[in-house]
Amino acid sequence: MRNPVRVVGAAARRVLVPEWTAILRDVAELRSDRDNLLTDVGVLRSELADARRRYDVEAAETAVLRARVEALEADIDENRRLSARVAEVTDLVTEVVLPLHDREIDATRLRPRGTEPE
Amino acid sequence: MGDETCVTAPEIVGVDRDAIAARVRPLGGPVDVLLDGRRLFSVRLEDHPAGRIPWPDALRPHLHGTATIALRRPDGPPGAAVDVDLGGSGRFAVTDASGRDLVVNKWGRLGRALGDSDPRVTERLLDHAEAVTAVLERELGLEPFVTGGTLLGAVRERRLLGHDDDVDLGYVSGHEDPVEVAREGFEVGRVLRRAGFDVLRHSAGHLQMHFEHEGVSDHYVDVFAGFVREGHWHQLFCIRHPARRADLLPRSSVTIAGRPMPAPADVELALEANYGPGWRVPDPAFRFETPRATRRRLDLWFPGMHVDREDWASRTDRREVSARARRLVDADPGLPALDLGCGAGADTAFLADHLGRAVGVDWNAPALESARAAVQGRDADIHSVNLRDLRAVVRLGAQLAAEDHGWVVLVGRVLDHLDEAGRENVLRLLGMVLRRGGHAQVDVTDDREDLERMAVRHGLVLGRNGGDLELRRAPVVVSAA
Repeated sequence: MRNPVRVVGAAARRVLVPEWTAILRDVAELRSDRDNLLTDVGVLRSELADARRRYDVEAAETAVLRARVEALEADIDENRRLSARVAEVTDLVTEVVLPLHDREIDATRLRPRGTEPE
Repeated sequence: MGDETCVTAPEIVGVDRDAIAARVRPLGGPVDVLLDGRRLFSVRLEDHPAGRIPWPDALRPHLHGTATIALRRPDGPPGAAVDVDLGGSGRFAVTDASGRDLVVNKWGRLGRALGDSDPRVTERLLDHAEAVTAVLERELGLEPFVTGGTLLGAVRERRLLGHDDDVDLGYVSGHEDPVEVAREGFEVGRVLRRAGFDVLRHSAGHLQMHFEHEGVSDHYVDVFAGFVREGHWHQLFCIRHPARRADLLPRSSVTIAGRPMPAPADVELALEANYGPGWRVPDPAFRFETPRATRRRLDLWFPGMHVDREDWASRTDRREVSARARRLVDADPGLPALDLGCGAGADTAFLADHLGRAVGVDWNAPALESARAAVQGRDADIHSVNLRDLRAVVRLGAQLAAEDHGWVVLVGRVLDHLDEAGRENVLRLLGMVLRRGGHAQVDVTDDREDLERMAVRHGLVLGRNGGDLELRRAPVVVSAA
């Protein structure tokens, strides 16, 4: 037999708050939605933490690559400066040293010691 | 009516010793500043968003007296002229020593503009450009063509541009390697000097020939090296543009002041390479904005040899004998003197008088002329040497070191005016000429430690003699072992 107090209470609820059942259903749904959202927030927090870690790794890699680009550019610059120096030195040999040789130097003295021309 | 507002000439609302306040719409694009009706300089208004056009630094020493100023769009009529008083006496004028009008050129320096010159200057310029072209064709088989502003003027106006001041010639080397292009550039200089031109070398790939007329400086012709490499046409000092050799050679022809002149095969490509796709629109305020990739290549393959040249030129007109030269003579070294950075030659003449013989070295052309006059009748030579040019320095060193004696060297303020490469060259020169004895008296205001380190590399030691710094050949240490 049903508890008469409950039966009366249920009847009173139906009369006073006819939406009671619907509200209970909505509350259950909202709780479920909240739980799902909390789960989503957890997932998103975890993804954000991952993204931050990846960003930090990539930022560190970018800094390393930036430094490498700077070093490579400096090397290329050095190489290009060397081109200018090679041109100057080659020009010096052909325009200054060889004419001096023609004027003043005995060619036989330029041979490496201990070797004879073939 | 609204459209009419857009084409109204720019208006001056105020002028003081700092700037010209302008009312001009739109606030962008080039504007000429006119002094007494002639163009004095040009600006781009977007660089001065408040409409205040500052006077260029080069004009500051001349800014006094009364003046009539106006503004003008390059393709429009001038705005209303405004009479202003900049303070001080006289009339605001910007002229050279011969009274000829000067303008502020695209480098921000005072120079002459063909628009202000006698039309016969154009004739003489083209004559000389043809003569230079003929020498390069005949002696080196090169095929020079007009380039830069000269080509722009030829295509846009069939004449030389009024705001320009020279003729630009370029050639395409047969070499691809910058080393070979630079070596060829050195040879180009020698060939042109042998042909009698007054050649100033700016870099291994840029030469400038100055011409006088009736005793005063008249005009100049620039020669720029070019080459094709990595699918790009490179030409000093600002071109790197996708192109094949066939885009440039064989040469085409353009007409300048009724005269045919050689031009690159694809003229439009050449102009776009130099001035960008907007080259057809007149812009006297145009400034070269060389892309970094181009600058890093051309500036390093062909380093400039005239760092701080204006600064040095302004310090070369001293006519009094320096106290340092007197101290050098008082020490009675018994050796001839080398005067590095001799300027107008006052010290060189004094040293020759007291030490028997002196050699003066400078690069500034007017100073060299004064120096040659100053030493006349004495046992003295004056050499034109750019101390930033390793080849010229070693050549001089070899020549002086070949004499059977040491030297006393007056280095003056030269070291303070050179960059590191130039200082290294001076120390190299001293290392050569002091091999047989003597010393160099050096004047440096800073970087003494740096100089000490550099000296060691060239077999020299830095010491002190009274108030003077001296460099001598380092003693040879013979190890007992």
